[in-house]
Amino acid sequence: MTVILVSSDNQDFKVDKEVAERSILIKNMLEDVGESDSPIPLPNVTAAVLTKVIEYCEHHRNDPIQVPEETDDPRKRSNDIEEWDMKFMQVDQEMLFEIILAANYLDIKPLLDVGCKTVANIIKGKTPEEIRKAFNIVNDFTPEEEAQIKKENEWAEDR
Amino acid sequence: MLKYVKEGALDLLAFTLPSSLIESIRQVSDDDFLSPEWGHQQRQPRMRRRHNTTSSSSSRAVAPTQRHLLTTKKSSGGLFSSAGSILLQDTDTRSHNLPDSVSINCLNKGPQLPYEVLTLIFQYLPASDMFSILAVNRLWRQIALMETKQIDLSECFPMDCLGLGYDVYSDFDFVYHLFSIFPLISSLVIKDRYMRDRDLRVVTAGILAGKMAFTEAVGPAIGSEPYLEAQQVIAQRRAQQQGHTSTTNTTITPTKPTSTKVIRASIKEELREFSRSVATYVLIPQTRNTLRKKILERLEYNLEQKEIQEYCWMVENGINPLTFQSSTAASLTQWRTGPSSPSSHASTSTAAPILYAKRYPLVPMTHYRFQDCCFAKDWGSAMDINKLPMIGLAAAISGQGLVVDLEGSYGAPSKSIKQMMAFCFGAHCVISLDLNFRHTHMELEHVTELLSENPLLYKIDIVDSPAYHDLIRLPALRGLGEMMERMQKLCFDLDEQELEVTLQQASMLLKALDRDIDLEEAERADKKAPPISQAGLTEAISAADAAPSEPVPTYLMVQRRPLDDPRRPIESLSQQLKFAEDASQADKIRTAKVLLKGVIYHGVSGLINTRDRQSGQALLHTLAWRRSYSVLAALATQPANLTTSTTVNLATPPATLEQQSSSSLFSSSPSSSSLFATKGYFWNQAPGMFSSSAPSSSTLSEIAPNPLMSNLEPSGGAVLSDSPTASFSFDLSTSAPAPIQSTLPSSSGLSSLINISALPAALSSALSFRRMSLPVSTLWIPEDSEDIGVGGGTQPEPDSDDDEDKDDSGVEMGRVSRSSSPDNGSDQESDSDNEVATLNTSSTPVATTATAAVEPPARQEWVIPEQHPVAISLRMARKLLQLKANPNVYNKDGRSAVVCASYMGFLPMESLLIEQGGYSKELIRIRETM
Repeated sequence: MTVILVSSDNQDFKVDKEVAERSILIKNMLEDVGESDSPIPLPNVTAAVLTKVIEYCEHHRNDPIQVPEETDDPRKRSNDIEEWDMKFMQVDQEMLFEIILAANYLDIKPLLDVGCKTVANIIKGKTPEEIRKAFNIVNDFTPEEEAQIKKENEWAEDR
Repeated sequence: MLKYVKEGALDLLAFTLPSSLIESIRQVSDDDFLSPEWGHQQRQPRMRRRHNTTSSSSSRAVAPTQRHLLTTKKSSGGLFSSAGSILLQDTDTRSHNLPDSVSINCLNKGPQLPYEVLTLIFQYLPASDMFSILAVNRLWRQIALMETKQIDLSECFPMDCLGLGYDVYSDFDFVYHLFSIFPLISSLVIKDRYMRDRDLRVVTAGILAGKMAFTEAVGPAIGSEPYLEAQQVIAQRRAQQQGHTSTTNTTITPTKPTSTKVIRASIKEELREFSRSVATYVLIPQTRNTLRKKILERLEYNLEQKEIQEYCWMVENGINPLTFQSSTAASLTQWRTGPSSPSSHASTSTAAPILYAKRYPLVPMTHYRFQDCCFAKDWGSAMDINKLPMIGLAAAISGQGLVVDLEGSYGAPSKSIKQMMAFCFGAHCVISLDLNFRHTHMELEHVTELLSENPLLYKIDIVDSPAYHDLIRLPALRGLGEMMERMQKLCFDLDEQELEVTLQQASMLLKALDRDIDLEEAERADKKAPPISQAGLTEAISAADAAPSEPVPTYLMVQRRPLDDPRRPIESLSQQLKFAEDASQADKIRTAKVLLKGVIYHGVSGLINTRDRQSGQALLHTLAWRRSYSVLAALATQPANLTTSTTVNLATPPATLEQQSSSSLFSSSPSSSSLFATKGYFWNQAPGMFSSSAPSSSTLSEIAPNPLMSNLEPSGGAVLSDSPTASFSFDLSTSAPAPIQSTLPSSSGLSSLINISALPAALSSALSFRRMSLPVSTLWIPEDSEDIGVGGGTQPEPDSDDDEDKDDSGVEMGRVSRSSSPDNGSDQESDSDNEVATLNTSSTPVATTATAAVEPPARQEWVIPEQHPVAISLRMARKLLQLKANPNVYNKDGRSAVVCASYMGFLPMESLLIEQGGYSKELIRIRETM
């Protein structure tokens, strides 16, 4: 059985239901609507991004559905990305963020996790200035705040 | 690009030497050249990182000199090089000094990650990156501060776990600031092979930052006066640390300590539950398997042996909260504001007494064991010095007691220990101290000082230390030291009966001492008896004339000093100890009582466990050595045997051996020539090794004569139990020239006990106690091996042939030995315990041929004559071991006994110990390590 997904730019994507249901959002919709051939609109996802998302879901179609962790261990590691996922995430930052947003919207937790880990790996080991550069972030601290932050972190500077 | 070069970088031109120039260039990172001057130059926290940004498998730490290179690594390349997108920011923020490129990029709007996604991303960042996040921009800072509820320390500062040098403070500050800045941290992720050292820093920093409490349940009630006071101290410290710098407006000052969860998935749930229930932090690192296993074993052992429970009981029932009157906060303040360095014990202890201290309710304590945390080769580094001050400080601030267990701190320099003690006692929080270090010499004077200046310290273990020797020799101990020396001598003399008597006397003495202490305490409580210090010396002297409450051996009575007061041992001892001038009478009394109670607590067992400083041997080791030495003595006769041709009938009745008394065996009559020395049996013996008590080689030479070569006299002693009439013929024909037999002394029974064909086994046995022939500096006493398997010490790794000791130790006496040959006899120790009562049937000595004439000797079993020195020594050792196996005595004595039993070759003794003491687990562990 297949379902039809419609991107925000009105492109249709015919995918297996099993693949589409990697998205909890779509899964819930299908459960609510029942058997239907109606296309499912995804207004927050562009065709380019949806292509990537479907590619990811196709690859992981047989993975067990991730359940919320009940473990006592809240460790979150960013260095345990699978090789395929790592290659999959080798996109520009804009696409990366789009994928993350799409994963968030479609409620595909594994994809969201991989995206966040990828971003975290970009951040890791960088100074604030390097982070700003990497993500083109504007420093919006006032000079007074900057001075205060600098003093706050004085202990950490090389002596 | 030059416009971005900092002035400092331009100064490079001032360097003249190329090396200086290169070094300067290296110091100025790429970032320095490229970073715009407009931005806030936030440096990376001075933490080391385990992982770089791309390689997760890299576990190699970054050397400090490389650190700046790592942190300034350009991010434009690599996997994520297409930096065309932006993370949308407020475009109305200041851009007055933005470089053109950045300004253009900022206008290029792209997707904006929502708050929740950023939160999720930050959760994947290690703690060391969170400080960078705080300084990126307002949004990131807000998210980091408000949403960070757990911190992963696993990837931080992996290198230099021992905290050498200034990095110690860096690590500590890091954790402290982490706790201080992030207000909502409620859990920590600690998984690191170096964690055992960092645990302490984390806990300490957590406590100092007010984020971590040892427990909420039993600590000062939130909002109570003690609680507020502690918070005030914490705030003061924070202000002091931060230079009175307030954090930004989003930083929330914690108002109450929260029970921060230290997460270790590897800890068994029951242990974790236990740690929670008793509010004792059990810090078990996820570390090397072997280390972790040992620590867990140790912890389980402690649980099993109720060692920890004892401390818990102390907390719950044993200590009057009023005794905990040194307000830890006040003491800390006092300590910190003291005029001298905190590392000086004297300076901390001589600070003004805490008269106005608040009385905190008793709260749980930390049981800090060096064996658990300071392991083997790690010792000697700075970690030992750094741990205790911090944990002591934390305990002080949190109002917790501290149990310092230095047992196993092998090789700890005395100076370091004193410094550590200074920190701990500066906090006035140590309530129990185990100073049973064997390789660290802390004098009685220092122990007294520690005790007298720390009112909470009421339990101490100094057995086996030099301080213990000095203590038991004081008159107030009623001659216990002399008894010890006497027992030592009796062991050397193999005086079985007298040893028995002395042991009973020692036991009686200790009981009497205990009773008199109680009486004295009762008297003092009733204030009926004025202290000796007030009554003056004459009273003490007159009291010494009074009869003791228990009969004391006469030879001890004459050795008493005038100050010895048998009836009032506490006051007597307080007079005999050396105290600081400002020590109060109450402190003196308490110190004396603690020391006395410590001696009584260990009892006779403590005496047995105590070694003489001169010889370095315990009684048991003396006997073991004595037995081995006896074999060696017999062995010394063998070379002479090779020079003659004789036939020996071993069917001679054993009674002929009994004329040899043990004392005559090792009599101290001078001897002109030493067969041992000349034949090289003491090739490694350092001068003075057994200077005070062990027989010298010259005295031993007296027992060297070989009965086999002396007039062919009947030499019995070794009889076959199943065929007592069996006879053996030995063909000892050799071509070697015969020695001058007339110069040889008379024979010894021991020598006659040794069958020629068994000599290789005897040789290997003698050499199995090889450590006895090592120089003093390398002397390694078997008893110490008890700690190898349980998590402590810097003992050298057991020799590879120690495995053979394992075999050796389990061999029953009287068993027929396995074959051995002189070729491998020097290192073959598996036969070491069979040397005397064995008959080797298959060995073929180099120049000797032994032939069993009657029946296959493999079926023969030899019985050692009852009065033979070897038999006596074994019986005496058994007696001592039985005393040590008393399950009511301190555990380690039992463990020590197991080790001794093993070395003595007492397999039955091990069973006895297991039956009586239940040391099965420990036994297995010990045997595994032997």
